[in-house]
Amino acid sequence: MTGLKADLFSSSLNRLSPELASWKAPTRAQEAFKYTNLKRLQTLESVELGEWKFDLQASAHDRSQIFFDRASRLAAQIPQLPIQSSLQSFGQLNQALEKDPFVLYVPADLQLKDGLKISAQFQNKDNAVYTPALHIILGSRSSAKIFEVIRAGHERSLVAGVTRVHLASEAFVEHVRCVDGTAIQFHEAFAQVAAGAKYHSTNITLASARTDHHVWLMDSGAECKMHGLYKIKSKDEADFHTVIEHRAPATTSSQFYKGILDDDARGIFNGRVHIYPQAQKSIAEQVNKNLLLSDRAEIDTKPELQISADDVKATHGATVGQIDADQLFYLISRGVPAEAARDLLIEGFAGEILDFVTEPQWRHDLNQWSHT
Amino acid sequence: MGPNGSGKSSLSKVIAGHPAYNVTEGSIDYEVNFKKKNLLELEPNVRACEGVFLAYQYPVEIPGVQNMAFLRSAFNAVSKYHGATELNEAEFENFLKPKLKMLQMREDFLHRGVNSGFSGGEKKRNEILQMAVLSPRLAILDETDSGLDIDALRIVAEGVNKLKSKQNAIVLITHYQRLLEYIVPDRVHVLSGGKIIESGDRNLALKLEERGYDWLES
Repeated sequence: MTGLKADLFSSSLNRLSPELASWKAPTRAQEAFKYTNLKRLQTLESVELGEWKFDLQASAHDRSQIFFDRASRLAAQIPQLPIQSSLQSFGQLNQALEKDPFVLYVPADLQLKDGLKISAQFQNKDNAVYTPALHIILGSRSSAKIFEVIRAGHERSLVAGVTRVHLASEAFVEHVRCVDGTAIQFHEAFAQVAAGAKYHSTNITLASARTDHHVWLMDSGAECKMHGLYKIKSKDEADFHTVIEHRAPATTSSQFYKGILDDDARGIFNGRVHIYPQAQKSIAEQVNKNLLLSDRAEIDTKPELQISADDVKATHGATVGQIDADQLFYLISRGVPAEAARDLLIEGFAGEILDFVTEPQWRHDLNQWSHT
Repeated sequence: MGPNGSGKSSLSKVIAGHPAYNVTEGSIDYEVNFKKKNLLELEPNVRACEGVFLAYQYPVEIPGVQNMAFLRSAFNAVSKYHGATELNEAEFENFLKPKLKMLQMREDFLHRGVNSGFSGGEKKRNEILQMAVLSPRLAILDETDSGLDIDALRIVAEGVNKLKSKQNAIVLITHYQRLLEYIVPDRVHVLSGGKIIESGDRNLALKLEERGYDWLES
């Protein structure tokens, strides 16, 4: 970022917090941001702090058993936990500006049957910076399904979000995240998984946004299943950067991300797996499949495997394709008009990821939003 | 009928409007409900709405699209074309049940991807199920009997016989007399080098079984 606008943006940030005096936006010279289109940041001028909050939708019964509020109001009731952190530029921005994140705590042994929907509500203000921050803590042997929705339709605004998930031993969470809207969005998500705990995460991006997702499989038997779908068009760009660290033996991870790109859209998938020397008998899989709907759409897909143990199984694969002509003709030859046939195939492609969302109403919402 | 490479499959694909085939000359006269049309002037999906159906020799697999969703889209597209009522999920499921039963197909076929993981016989039965759903006026069955065991062949043939009526025409593309034991043809045409070289009744098929295609070429 250079020029007058960049200076306006930086100085407005400095005004918002002394901690940001030396904060600089990332540049393409940094490996982690080499392929990301940072030009969008240049539309940001002087920004103010925008107000935001998370709303929880849950059954009255569930509401009475869990804890959900700003951290400051819950302090004594939630466990103080050491939290792994690897904040990058925008995560640091979030941390400097947001001191009171929302916390969702599901106590040990509580197994919720119904889903919890957590939607970000933003002030209706452009030229602002929003810092949604959420800590999800699941006690031992607890389980929950969470739908985190961040739809920010602002102009010349930045959303720098941080979500942290902490799973104690044997806990289970199905964490569905949807990011959408016209704001410039950079999200950092973290998950720490203890012995025998399972982190199932489905990440949907429907507009320009970058999500950095870092998972630590800390103890034996920890498992993480990550799914993602980015469905974008026009000049949107969706970036997914994942890092999964296998730090203990017999840990498993899988990453299955699919992209549907139309017009001049661009996607980036950078999946990194790090298997430490002590993580023997670990299994890591990674698959990225992309459907290009125009000849100007682009995808950069890069797996990274750093394996330091010798008794492990690690695989990765990526495909890039177009709509299959034979499949398309099959549908058309049964009376389905060409456009509708194309839509059926595109929906089918996306469906494989949306099928991981177990709550029918959430799947329905996601399906609808992906069509606008 | 006709030797391999005679153009049987190509003909069926040209009638269906497959984009891989470019017709440079001629016309395809199609008459239904006393209305004459040249099929070559119609888009492939319109041909289907006008009652043209091709049961493929090698039906393609579409894992992401649920069989039920596909069948209902096709049915509703054809209904809409004719100004008839479209069916919702529940109504369509009821409409399908007897047809599934007739073809001895289990309900879980509806919830799987189109032809996805289906055996050869199941794929062919899915083609006949589509024929039962769409009620075509001209159905071309391209080597529907290939790859079928005795039982599957019987089920498919019985299905086709039930769908056969005075209101529709069925063209069977086959090499073998076997299928013709079950579905008795009114006319038999032999294609060779892209032309019909011989026509007759069902006895022609029996003679070919006995003497082969070379007999005709000589």
